[in-house]
Amino acid sequence: MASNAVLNFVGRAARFALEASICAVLLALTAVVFAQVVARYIFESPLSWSEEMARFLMMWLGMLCAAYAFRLGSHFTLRIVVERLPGGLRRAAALAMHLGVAVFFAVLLWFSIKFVSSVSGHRAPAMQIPMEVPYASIVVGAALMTLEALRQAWRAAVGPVDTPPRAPARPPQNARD
Amino acid sequence: MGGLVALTLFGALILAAPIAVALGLAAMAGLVYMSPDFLVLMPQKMLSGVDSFTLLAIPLFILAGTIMGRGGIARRIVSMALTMVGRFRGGLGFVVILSTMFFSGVCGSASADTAAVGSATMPEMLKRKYPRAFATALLAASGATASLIPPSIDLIIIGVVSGVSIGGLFAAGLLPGLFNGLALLALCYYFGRKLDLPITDPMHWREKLHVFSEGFLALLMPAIILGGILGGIFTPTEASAVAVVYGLIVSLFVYREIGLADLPALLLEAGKLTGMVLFVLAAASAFSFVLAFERIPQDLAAFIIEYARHWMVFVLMVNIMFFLLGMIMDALPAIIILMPILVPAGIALGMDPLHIGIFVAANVSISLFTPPVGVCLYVACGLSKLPIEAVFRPLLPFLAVLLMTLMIISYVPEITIFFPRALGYNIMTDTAP
Repeated sequence: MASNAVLNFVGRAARFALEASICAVLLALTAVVFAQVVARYIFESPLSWSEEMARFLMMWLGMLCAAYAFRLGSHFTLRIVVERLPGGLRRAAALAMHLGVAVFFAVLLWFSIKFVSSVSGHRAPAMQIPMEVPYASIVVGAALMTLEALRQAWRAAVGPVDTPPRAPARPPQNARD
Repeated sequence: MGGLVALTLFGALILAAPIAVALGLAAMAGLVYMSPDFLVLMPQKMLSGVDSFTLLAIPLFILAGTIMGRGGIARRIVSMALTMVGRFRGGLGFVVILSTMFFSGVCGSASADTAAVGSATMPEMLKRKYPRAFATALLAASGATASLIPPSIDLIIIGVVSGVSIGGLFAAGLLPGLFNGLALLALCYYFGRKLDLPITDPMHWREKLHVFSEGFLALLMPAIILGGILGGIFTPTEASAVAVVYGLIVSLFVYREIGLADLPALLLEAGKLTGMVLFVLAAASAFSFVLAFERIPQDLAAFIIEYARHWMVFVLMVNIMFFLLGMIMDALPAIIILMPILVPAGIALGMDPLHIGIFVAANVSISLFTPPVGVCLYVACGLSKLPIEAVFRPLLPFLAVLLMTLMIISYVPEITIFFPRALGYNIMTDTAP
């Protein structure tokens, strides 16, 4: 089905974009903090912008990585109760959970947009960039996780009954999903 | 309102929603109850939960550990430990314990430590006919216990959520971490005799010299990190960036065990764990805002103080609570939620905040290897290809010994406080027990 192929392509592209951004932000973060140390000890002139920039990158890192971990299903979860439910109830519980999660992210997305538009005009003290730049991270994060939550809810509704048991943590050699 | 928040939180937790989402939903319920207009505070509080220069040390130490684990630094630490203690009976067991302790001096994450040291030592232990379940239990317990040794993500989180100095916590964790390590070494000595574990082949001194000259760069690392932080040269966050850069240079250009093409996988692996931790911190920040609005933390702390009356009772209560909690959930979310309540209560009972942080971290380290949700146990079982049920029995002696050291660390605050005081972290001298 053509629409499926399009969806798959879009999904793969989004995933690549997310992974590439995480790598870029993490490297940039290392570089900024390292530059701060070098500037202070080697050039003896502390940077005025490094701490602020690092904090802004941190917000982006937090939101992007949260979306990434959510996609992989690796967020901390309490499974002790649902694992003991019989099949039918377990399916109902999974559905209710996925819907609740989707509602959370959708509401978060809506109010994140409101929040970001409320800070327009404000500028960061050190770098003088608009505050929308760091705060947009939560809009992107909430949007990604809303889509993913809807996808998981759909799969729980039409897929097989079982929620997967807690997967044993694997050694890093093959930990990449 | 408290009822509504609690109902939402526990309902979502029981249905196995991610803990961060459960916290977020509960915070939303509380905000809606106050006034639906307050919902716009939700994104603001979540962002302010991760908007911290100090917290940056978490992703960077995770990344440093991942790079050094895969880039050959962990393997060289293991080789050096082997030349030092390999000739003892059960020497490989000593190697595991020493290496996890040493590697945790550069790596903040217990699971990365277990994975890095385990992938270098587990095949060797199995080749030398160590009982598979014993080897797994040993690795899980030592990887988890080493998490007390600074730098440690648990300690950074404890510091950030409860406002205790992170440099002070790092200094305070050192002696209890070494103490736990010694206890494990003693246990391993006993098992070396009892199970009649093999001795490794003797090594020529030239070979030893080679191992040490190769490992010198790996040895230098903890000296830079810990010396830099404890000596006040750089902040923990700056030290974490230095660790990443150092690890990258050594792995890419000196040892050449990884290439630039391996970097994305390493970055993403660090990113996953980072996302798990930061998302809970973000949601917990909104959640604690709602609780604080109703003065719930103060009420809970007052209740605890009233009930415990003496710090020794308080410590026992907290130990039991974390032991039980550790059986049903991961420890990190638990400390993020509970530490802001426990630290003020403990201080009011006359405890040093560093001591509170460390004895809770010691509890966390135990929960990292106890079934059913110990992440180090899962990593170790993944390496030895055993189901976790097979390791329950061999874990018991390790658990017994570490519970004993936990009690000593809990009730002899001097072990914790001596070193940070000597370095001048004297925040609470007057009220310390």
